[in-house]
Amino acid sequence: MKFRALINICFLLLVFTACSEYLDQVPDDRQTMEEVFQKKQPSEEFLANVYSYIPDESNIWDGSPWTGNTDEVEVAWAKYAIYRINIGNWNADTAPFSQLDNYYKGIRSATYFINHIDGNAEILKLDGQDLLDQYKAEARFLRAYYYFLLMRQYGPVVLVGEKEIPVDASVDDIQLARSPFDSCVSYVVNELDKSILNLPLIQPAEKDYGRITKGIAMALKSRLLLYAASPEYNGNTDLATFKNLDGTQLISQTYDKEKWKKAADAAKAVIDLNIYQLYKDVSGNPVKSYRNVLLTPWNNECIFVRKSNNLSTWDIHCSLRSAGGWCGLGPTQEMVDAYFMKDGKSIEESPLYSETGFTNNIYNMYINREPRFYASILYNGKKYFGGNITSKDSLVARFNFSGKDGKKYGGEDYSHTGYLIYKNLSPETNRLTGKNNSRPLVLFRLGEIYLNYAEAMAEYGGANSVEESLKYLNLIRERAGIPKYGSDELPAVSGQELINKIRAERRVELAFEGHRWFDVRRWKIVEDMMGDMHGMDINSDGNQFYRRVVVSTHQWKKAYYWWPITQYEMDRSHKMVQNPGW
Amino acid sequence: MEFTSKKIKHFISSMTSGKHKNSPLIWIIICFLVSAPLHVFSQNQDKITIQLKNVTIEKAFRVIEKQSGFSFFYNAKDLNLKTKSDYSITNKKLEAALEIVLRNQPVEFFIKDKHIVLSKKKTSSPQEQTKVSIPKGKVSGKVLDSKGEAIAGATVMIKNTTTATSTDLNGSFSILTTLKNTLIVSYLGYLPMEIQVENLKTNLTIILEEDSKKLEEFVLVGYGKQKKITAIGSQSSLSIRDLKSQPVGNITNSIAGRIAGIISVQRSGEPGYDGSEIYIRGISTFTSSSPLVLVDGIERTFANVDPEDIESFSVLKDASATAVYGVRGANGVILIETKKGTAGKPKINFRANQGVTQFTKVPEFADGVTYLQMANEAYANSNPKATMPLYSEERIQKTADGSDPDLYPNINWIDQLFNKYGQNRRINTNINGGSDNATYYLSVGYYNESGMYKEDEMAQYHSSINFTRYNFTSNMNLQLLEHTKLDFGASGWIADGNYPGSSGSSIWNAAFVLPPIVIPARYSNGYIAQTRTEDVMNPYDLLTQTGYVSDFKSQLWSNIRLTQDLSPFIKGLSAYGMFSFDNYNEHRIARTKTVDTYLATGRDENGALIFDQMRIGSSYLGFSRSNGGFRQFYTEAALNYSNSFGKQDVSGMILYNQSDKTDAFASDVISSLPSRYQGIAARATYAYDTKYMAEINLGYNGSETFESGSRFGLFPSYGLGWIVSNEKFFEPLAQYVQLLKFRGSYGTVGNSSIGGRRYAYITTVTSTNGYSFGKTTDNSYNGLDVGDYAATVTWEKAKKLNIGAELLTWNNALSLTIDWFQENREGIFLQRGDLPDYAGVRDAPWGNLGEVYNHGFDGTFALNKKLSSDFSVEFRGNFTWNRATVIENANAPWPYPWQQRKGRKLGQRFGKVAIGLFQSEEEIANSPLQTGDIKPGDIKYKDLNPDGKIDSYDEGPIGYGSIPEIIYGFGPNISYKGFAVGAWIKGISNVDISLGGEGFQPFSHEGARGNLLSNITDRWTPNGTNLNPTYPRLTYPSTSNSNYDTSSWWIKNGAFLRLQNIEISYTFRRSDLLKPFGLNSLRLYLIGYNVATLSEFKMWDVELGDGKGASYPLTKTFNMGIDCQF
Repeated sequence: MKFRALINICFLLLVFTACSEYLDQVPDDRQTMEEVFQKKQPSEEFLANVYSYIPDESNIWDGSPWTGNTDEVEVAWAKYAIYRINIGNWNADTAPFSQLDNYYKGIRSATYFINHIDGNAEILKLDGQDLLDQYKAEARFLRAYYYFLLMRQYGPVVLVGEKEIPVDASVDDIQLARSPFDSCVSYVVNELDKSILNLPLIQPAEKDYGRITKGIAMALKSRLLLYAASPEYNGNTDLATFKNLDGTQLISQTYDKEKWKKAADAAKAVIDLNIYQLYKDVSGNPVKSYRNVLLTPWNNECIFVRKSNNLSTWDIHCSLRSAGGWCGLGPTQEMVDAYFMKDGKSIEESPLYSETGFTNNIYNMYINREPRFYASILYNGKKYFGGNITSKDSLVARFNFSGKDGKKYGGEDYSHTGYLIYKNLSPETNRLTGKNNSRPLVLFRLGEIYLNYAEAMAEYGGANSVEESLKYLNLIRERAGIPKYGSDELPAVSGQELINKIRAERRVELAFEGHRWFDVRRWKIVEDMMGDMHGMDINSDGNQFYRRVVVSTHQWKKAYYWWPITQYEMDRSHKMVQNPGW
Repeated sequence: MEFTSKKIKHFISSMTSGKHKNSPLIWIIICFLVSAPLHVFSQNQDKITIQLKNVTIEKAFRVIEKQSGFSFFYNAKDLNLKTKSDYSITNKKLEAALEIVLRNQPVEFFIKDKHIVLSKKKTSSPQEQTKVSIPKGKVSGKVLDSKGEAIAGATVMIKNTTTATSTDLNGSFSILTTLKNTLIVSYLGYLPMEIQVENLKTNLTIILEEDSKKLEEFVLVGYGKQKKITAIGSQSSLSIRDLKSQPVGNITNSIAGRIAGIISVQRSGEPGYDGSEIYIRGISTFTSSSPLVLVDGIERTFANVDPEDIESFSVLKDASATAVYGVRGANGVILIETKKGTAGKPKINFRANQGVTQFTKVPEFADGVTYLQMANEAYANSNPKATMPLYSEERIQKTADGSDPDLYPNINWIDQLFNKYGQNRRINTNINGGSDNATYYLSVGYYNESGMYKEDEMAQYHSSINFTRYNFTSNMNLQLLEHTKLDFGASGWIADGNYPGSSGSSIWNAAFVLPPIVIPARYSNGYIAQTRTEDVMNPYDLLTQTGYVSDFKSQLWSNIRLTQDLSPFIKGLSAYGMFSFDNYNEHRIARTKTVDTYLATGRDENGALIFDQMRIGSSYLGFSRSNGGFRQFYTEAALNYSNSFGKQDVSGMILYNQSDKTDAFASDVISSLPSRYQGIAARATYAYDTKYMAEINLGYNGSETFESGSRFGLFPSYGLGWIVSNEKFFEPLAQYVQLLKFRGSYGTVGNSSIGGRRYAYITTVTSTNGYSFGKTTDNSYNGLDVGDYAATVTWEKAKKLNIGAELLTWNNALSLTIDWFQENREGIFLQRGDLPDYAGVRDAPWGNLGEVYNHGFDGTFALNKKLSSDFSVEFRGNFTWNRATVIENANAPWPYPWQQRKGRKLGQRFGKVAIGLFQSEEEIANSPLQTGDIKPGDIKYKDLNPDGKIDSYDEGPIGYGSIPEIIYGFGPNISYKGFAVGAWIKGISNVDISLGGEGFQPFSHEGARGNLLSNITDRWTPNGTNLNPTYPRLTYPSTSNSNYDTSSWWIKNGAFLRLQNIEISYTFRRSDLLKPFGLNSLRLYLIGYNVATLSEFKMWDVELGDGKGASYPLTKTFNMGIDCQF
């Protein structure tokens, strides 16, 4: 009987355990997407994810190329992709700093949020429809912002629309073509206008500082419309053949002056909000005023900031090697030369400028420059305030070959130009104690809006345009501590000269803030500024050091107006056309 | 031949037909059962009358049966059936008639009911014989096999008694017996032999015939075993003798090249982390390619099993063998059985060895002076206008003369880090024995290996590598009841490792990053040196000053199995149930610290060093802990059937199993859910006359990771076999070919190892980057997003075809097995690669999208020849080749044909095609444009697309890949008397090494970072004569042009031939010398492992593979050992 019992047991075991429940064990109470959008905290976390794509552009050595691939900065390290771009070693296949996948992920997440947040029970109960509308407007702004970020890098882009692309669709069913640049602009402006309706003017609670406000959306509109009015996008007949496969023209072929008007209006609208003002230090010291625009958190000039960021590493990259830094971000001689003299004139025009001799052991090139120069450039012999691992005393920068910060023993950590960026370097960062001064990264500030307005007005012309333009240009110069145009020291200017002065001012005022790359392109002057980059002779000591030498050559090709659409995308998007020249 | 009382009636009645020819055992049982007195028959019997002439005795029986109505019942063997006699009986009682008829037959009879039972005449016991004074004495002799080799351990038994002995090492025996007794000599694998003792000899020579059909030989197959002769599946097994003699801690390292069908490479020699990657018939998928490993039928890892405890090691390769494992079997299966006890007196085995270890090959760095000279050359190449050299002559001079090693160090970091020798030792003791009803095997093992890292003698802790493992194994097999068996096994191991506070990879990497001339390991005053750049570490500091890590792992396995023989119910039927529980734990305690570090910047007026402090250290050892582990339950129940009907052999199996494995330290909900399998397996086999075989295997099983409704899959396989040598027409050839067998199989197997994405059918919420708000308060949010979108997915399917042939020739001395296979792996789990970026999907959805075609062959040969009774030669070898091709990888096509992955080898490397070095400026001007600083001496690439420039579109297939396509092994074993010499050579081919990485690539970050290998001097120079040097023109930094792009220039042949094993041993043959010490056998041996490697690749141990050789090299060891049995 034993074996019969055993068979029975085996059989029972089979029947008993063979029921499918054994494999059915995914718990029912795990978080699902439906639940995320019924609760407040997870919905806010989803929105935080949409926010997270806001670029942290403090990393200019291997995060974004907008500074190191212009005439502003020479990045020390050949290991980073910036170097490959500068020597022209890139193509659609290898394109570093590609952002297509990144920002379209942000765009999809924003769309998902907009399409799912309606009817969120908990938010409706706790805060009502207004907060729901505000969050939706934030997501809508962010989606528009990511489109803008793609447009500035790639020109005309694919607009996906209000629905997420289904993930199981066949490749043929999801083919989309690029929209003409003007259509992209209209779309983004329209989206921004929609979001402005439901965004607060200022965030009422301090804990929400950093969230999107009306002013941020309006500031973005100002920058976008300024770009759209500029020669690169406004009647650029060089790109007559840049068309979709179906023949759609992607860049407008006729110049439209009214675009400048729209740009001017958008900038003025921000100014007219009257909630932002240029930052000025209480001491009235223009060096401090200018430095602290970026170093004083949440000051009134800031419109859009990113609270968490990588500025602590920026500080190390800008610090002297003898202070434990990496000595890596060297402004070019071209950038140094762009700074005005203290009389408000350029070095070509000013009688104060000299490239011979020394004053108190400082090379005369660095004497009598404008306050923003001293706030922004660390040059040989300048005192550096920052932490040091052996000495707490102030230091003097020594970039010559055998100097303590020089090339000789620097390995790969030495300035290639004989300068370091001093702007936005926090004196409180101390490599000895490991202290990092964390502060918000400024993405949009009123100073830029003033310059946007001045430029748009000067370009648009018409009644009051020169006065309006000069007014805001001079407000920038006033804060910078140099004479205004139309004052006793400097004559007023107009026409193309005014435009040139505004561009020169913009270069200096917004130096190292990630504008230059886009500005020189939209102005279509990029060909003139690329090529050989200069610096001091870091292979020499003594007076030999103070010679202008070529430190590198930043290659330029017409194709470089925009990034290439990646080969990855070209292989998958059958309606995609490649950017010209790639 | 066992039965229960319940069945007797049926049994007896079937016997009464008189046609059964029964074995003596039955007679003994019958006699035992029938306890009634013999004189019980009736008085009213009919009388018997027989008049027969020249007939056999059986004829006489028939007549008696007819007349009496009684039936005869006998064993034909007991009677002399052939002799014909005359029988003349008239009117005698049955008893009397039988007396007469059986007069000349060696049987006696008794009558019960209507049966006449004949049984052999009882041999009187020795005592009785003594009484009748039959001569008694010692008989001795020797038992040999057909080749004349002594058979040790053969049983010599006096027939019908319990007196027995066994042969010693020389095959000798002696036994006390009497004349006229019969000796039965038996040994497993041989036909038993009976010898009549005619006189008391002392020099009997008994030669046992091998059981030529090897019916006893079984092979392991999925969930069971089969007769080797009729097995169809492609299966190979490892010689356990080979496994045992390897002086390695991790037995995965003993597999490569030892067994046909396995592709395996070892990438590290670090004790405790030196396991090999193992693939059966190569890699056929983009997901997990690890084979299923079953130890005693349960999914387990075998790396830490003591080889001594292994009874058999088999690899199942084709669908016929693996289909029963269903969704787990596609990557092949390794079956390991641990040892069981055998009945008899306790036998104790003791094995110990001790060895020294050494690195096989360590990368050699350039010395300081060479470094400085090369840096100057590179710097001058890149800065032709530079007015002064990078490093002055003074500096080079001071580095060369060593006058100031603090400021001008010249350090060979390898010497700073490593001792020349380490050691390993292994000890194992096991005991086995038991009675007929219970046997046991108990074993304890110990393995210890110390690494070659140096220590700081001043430190109060040990930071060098020391790995110790204790194994224990116990197997009990109990015959609970007559038909019920219980097997219980419990085994496990404990491993205790001590490691430096910094990981091995960071130490090695630091040695490759820090040049020889920057800092010493420590300054003359004892300060630990450190550079200014904090990502260049002092490897000596990392090794000796950062504390230690203690790594404790333990594994406990237990399994219990109850087997019920159901033969009495249905002949050949049995059932069993099995349950196992396994538990694994690891526990890692890191006691780490940092010490103060300094950089000497110069000397003051008095010549004392000036230091900058680089780091403020921690004064005590910190503490951190991490844990890992899992537990696993496994249940299995099966019915087995096996029977023969005349020439037909039939077997069947149906089995249910389920397993449940839980990560005990899961970090999220999904991974905390147990991984479960559940399924049914079935098999039916049929063989006719040991000539034709057919087999069907079925696996029906599922995994919890798939959607309800599509969880279960059916995996069938079919096999056919034909033993040609058993055919009639083959007989003329039989003297040349003893076995020729063909077999083929086709079937489907699955793979459910989906690679991280469990429950692909549900959309997941994933945490992402968050964002921060708040002016003064930190109002930070975590991010949430859609993780993976739901997708309908199921297992991968492998369709496998296998055709094999087996050959035995040269009087069974040479055997050859060859298998050819092909496999189509379909529905491989892949993420969609064809979605455009603007779809914005965070993680591309998964699907059954990929397809790979794999094919190849493997074979084994063995030659075993006895040249004389003392001298035998054995030579074995095996070979494996496979090539897997990508059919579909779910990606958009690349723009150019040479970039396509489809249609190419799985794991194909891609890169630029180097066509030499530029020799002149003109050549550069006339060649396609290469970006960067290009001068003569730089690598010239082929413009594949030809657009006049070299870029990523010019990257085509180069080389083979990092996983070898060919792996083989061969070796002889020669024994002469007690001496034996054996060797094993392993070869790997169709593989290459891609060089790259900091420390290999000179000056990739200018100075301060990046060591140089000593072969740096083999570089291109303007006036050099070597047109094909290792390195192109040196530049500073080397990233300034395309010389170090991935290209065929940096692909080196990774093929090698390695003398993996060489062993010399002596076995004592004089049992009279061993006996006084209580020893049954004694063997002493010397063994060398990884002794020599032949390869054109010289920079580091070729088996480490790609990169720069910055990992703990493989070790070679020289061991001596002892092996004895009590």
